[in-house]
Order: sequence, then structure tokens, then C-alpha cells
Amino acid sequence: MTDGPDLSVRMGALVLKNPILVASGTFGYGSEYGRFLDLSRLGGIVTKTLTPTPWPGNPPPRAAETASGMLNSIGLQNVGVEAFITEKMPYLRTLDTARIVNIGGGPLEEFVEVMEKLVGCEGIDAFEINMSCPNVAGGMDFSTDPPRAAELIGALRKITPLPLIAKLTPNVTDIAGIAAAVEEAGADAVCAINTLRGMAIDIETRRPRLGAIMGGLSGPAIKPVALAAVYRIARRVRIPVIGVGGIMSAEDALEFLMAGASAVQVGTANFVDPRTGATVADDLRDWLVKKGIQTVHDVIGSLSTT
Amino acid sequence: MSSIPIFQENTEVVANRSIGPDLYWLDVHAPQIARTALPGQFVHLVVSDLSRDHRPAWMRHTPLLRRPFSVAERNEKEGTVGLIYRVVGGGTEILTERQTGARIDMLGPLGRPFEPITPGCPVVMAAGGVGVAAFFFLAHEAVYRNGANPLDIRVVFGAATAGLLGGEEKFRAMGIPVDLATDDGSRGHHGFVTVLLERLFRETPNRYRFVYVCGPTPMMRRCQTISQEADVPGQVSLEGIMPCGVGVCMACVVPCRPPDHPDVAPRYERVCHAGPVFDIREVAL
Repeated sequence: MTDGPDLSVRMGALVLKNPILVASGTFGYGSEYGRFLDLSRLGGIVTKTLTPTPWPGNPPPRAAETASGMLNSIGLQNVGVEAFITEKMPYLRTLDTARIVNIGGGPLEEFVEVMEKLVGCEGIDAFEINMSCPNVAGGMDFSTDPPRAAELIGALRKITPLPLIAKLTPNVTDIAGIAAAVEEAGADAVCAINTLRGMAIDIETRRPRLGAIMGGLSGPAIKPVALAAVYRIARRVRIPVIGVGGIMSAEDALEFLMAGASAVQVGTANFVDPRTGATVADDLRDWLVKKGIQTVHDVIGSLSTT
Repeated sequence: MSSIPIFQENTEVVANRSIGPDLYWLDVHAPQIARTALPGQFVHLVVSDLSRDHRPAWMRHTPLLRRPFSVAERNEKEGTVGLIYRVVGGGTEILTERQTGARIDMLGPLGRPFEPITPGCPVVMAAGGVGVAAFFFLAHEAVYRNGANPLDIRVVFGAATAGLLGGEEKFRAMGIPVDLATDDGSRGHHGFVTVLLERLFRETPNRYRFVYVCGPTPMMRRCQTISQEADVPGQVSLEGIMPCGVGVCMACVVPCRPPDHPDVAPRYERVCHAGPVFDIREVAL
């Protein structure tokens, strides 16, 4: 560890060496990108959403490029929680970075089932709750209604003492209200935003570009939306906010930190350049050094609106 | 899979030249990929110009996603990799602007390669359009590395028009017989390349032991039927909309079922990870 600004941040019991995470669904289970970069340069890895059993996912095509962004309709295709524990966790345990395991499902019982299977699994630093997937039936139900959001987080809170991060959908009128509900129910942090519902059409065939017709929009196109969501949530809740949506550079990350995020996630940009997360962390440090700032906490929530 | 090395190289364009209408040959200096690539594998490129620093990252990365291309040639001594591409949209059009000396960020080699050609085992390669790219590499390795007799390799190659049969002379230079077809009759057989494959199997039954197929989906689908009827095993090389190229995003899937169990429910396999090369009998195109 070299001398320099302090980049570490804390969310409940979760301590991150730097505020740059990689987002669920864009980084597999870590090993795929471990071939390209030193994963210890990241603040943490959020793994692909796990469901109780392996899920087949949606019919292809599952992705389409749009203006500064992409649509996806993967539909949570994943190995299932049991294969994750036996096949993916041993690698993750070797990493010198925070391991945040993302879980999802349809009905509440499925979230509970996944969580119960993971509860004794060594090496998990926190859970992120995907209560906002636009690509499975009912996937967003828990994150569009405050009482249901609270019910889910409350149920999971009883199962694990580990930090719980609630990942929220932007496809609502009042995202800060949902954040307040999960805070009240015991969440340690909120993550905003999941993808925005979107679609694209091939006018020659008059068919949707996605097999599932609609999907979730990610990438730089959604950054202004994500930033506004983070700003509104950070003003409403006391728990830390993790910002995600279109981050490709340290400049982007700094906007989120200034808006009130305590950490950020790099998502779609991992596809563009697998080293983005590590580069953002390095460039963030350089920016702090250049500005003579000792700790990243001096940037978090430092937005001036007067 | 994860133990196989993959490189992210900041490559330099050696040449990017037109070889037909909207058809290009791109040579880049990528020594690690040139050393390790196998026929059937692909690379994943950033097509936009990353060299100008004043633009924000999102603007430099327009279009946002990488584009996959089959490796058509490698030169270990020079450290170069050759690719063929056709301009089919904004990404490939922007790629035509990368001049000699420009930098291109490239991931590779990616995906599962073709079964290598065994000397003494006659094979057919059926190519449609730019689908021919990987076959230059496959044929070259077979003839110059594995010691296959070029006369044991037969290429059937079809395209919309004569100008899009770019590179066919490379097969002839290796001594490999090539049958051509064009949709408009401007060169070779007037019609689909699948007719040539069917004819080959009919006129020389039991000669060819394996067929490699790469081209548009309807062509590959027809080749599946033809190879099944002729009882010739083979492989197809697929493409897909591929945001990551390394198996994490789960976008580029194709329904597959085990070749010996056509009645089981298909599973979605990742083209970039389980493929791009698949058993011709396992994919539901």
C-alpha cells in the first residue's frame, strides 16, 4: 500500500478498500475477468444474480446496442445457488477484494431459499438483493411498492447478519420512497439504479430487436438518470448509497460521489474494457492527489447547489 | 476454459484495405494473439478511435460495444493477425477509418476452435460470404502445419456477387480446389452454395468425412440438413450479438441439445464461450 489519499469506505460492517465495485451481471463470478486484470485493484465484485436453481434465461437475441448504451434481456440465466457455492466460491475466496453476492428470484420464498443456502458459506462479505430485474416476470415487484420492498428486506434481515444492499429499479415515480422503506426494514445500503426498461425495433423486419421484446437499458445513456436517483436517495436516507449507471471513467464516478454515493459500480463498461473498474480506481486516486484531497469522504456528498 | 490465456492487446493497424465492395482485409500487429490463436477462434475489437484524449470515455467509445471477428490468418514471425470484415452497419463502417499505424484494442483469442484437420481425412469447408474468414486459417494450418494434402480439402464458397468472393485465391494458392457460387450468377454456379455442397456429397459419396460450415443462418441451416442426409459429421461456426465476448454477459446464446439426444429440451449455450464452433448436430438454428 502506497501513501496517498484514503479511498476506503464503510457500509455497515462492509469495508471497501476503494469505492469502485463491478456490477452484477457484468463481471460473471470473477474468474472470467481475473485473466485480464488484478482483481485486488477493485473495491469489490458483485456476482451475477443467483436463483434457487439454474435458470435458462430468455430467448435470444438478448442484447441490442442503442445510443451510448445497450439493451439486455438476459432473464437471470445463472448457475443456481448450489453450483455457485461449490464451483464459484472457491475462486472468489482467494481474492483480495470484497465479495458481494447478488441474489434474486421470483416470489419472496425464492429469495429466502437462496439466502438460507448462502448463510453458512464462508467468504461472502455482503449481499446485494436484486429486487429490480426488469427481465423476469414479477422481477421488479419488490422494488416498486414500499411495503413489499420492506417485507422482502425484513425477511432477509432475519436470516443474515451480513450487510444487505437493496438494488432498486428506476422504473418508479419515487425511488427515494422505496429507499426509505428498505432502510426502515434494515437494509445497510441501497444501490441505484438497475436498468431502465426499454426497447428497440428492426424496421425492416418490423420485429423487436430483443427476443423478450423489452429489456433493460444500461450504459452511458442512463448516467444522468442514475445520478438524479442517487442524489434524491442520498438526501432522503442515512444509509450509504451505491451509485451505478453508465460509469466509464473516474470523472463519471466522481459525479456520483459528489451527488452523495459512498461507492459506485462499473457495469456495462466492463464489456467495453475489462480493466475499466481498476482504471477508474487508479484515476480516482490520481484525481484526489492532484486536488490535494486526503480522503474520498471529502468528496462524498460534496455537491454544492447554492 | 479459464486456464486458457486470453490477451488484451493494444494493437497497431498494419493494413486495412478494401478487397471487394464493402469488403475489407485488416492486418494488425498483435504478437500474443498471433502466437496463440487457433482456427475458429475470434477476436473482439474496439472499432472506435481511442487515441484522442480530450473526449470523455463515452464519446471515445461510440459505438459502445466491441465487435467480434474470426481470425482469418496469423503470422507468428511478423506477429500479425489478419481479419476479414464486411461493412454491415455503423461499427464496421467506423472500422474502415482506422488507417495504418492506428491503435486498436483487441481481446483474444476467444472461443472454442475447430476440430483440426487430420492428414488423410478428406474434409469440405462450406462458406457463405465473410463466413469464409476462419477457413483461410483452418486450411493454412492443415496444409502447412499438420501436413494435410491440399487435395483432401475441398472448399465450396458462395456470396451474393463475384466481388464478395474476396480471398478465394488464397485457397488456390495452397493447392486447394474451390467451387464458387454467386446469387447473381456473376461467377461460378448461379445459385446457392448449398447446392454445391449437396452435389459434392452426391457425386463423391463417402469421400468426405467432415464438413465445416460458416455463413448466413439460412445457409447453415440447410447445411445441417445436407450433412445429416449424407451422414457426414461436422461443425458450424456461429456469430451473435456479443457484448462481452468472454462468457460473462450471457447475451449471445443459441439453443443447443446434445447431438445424440434430439428429444431433450434445448439449453442456451453462449456462442462466445461454448462456441463459436459447435457440433453441426447440436445447435438449433
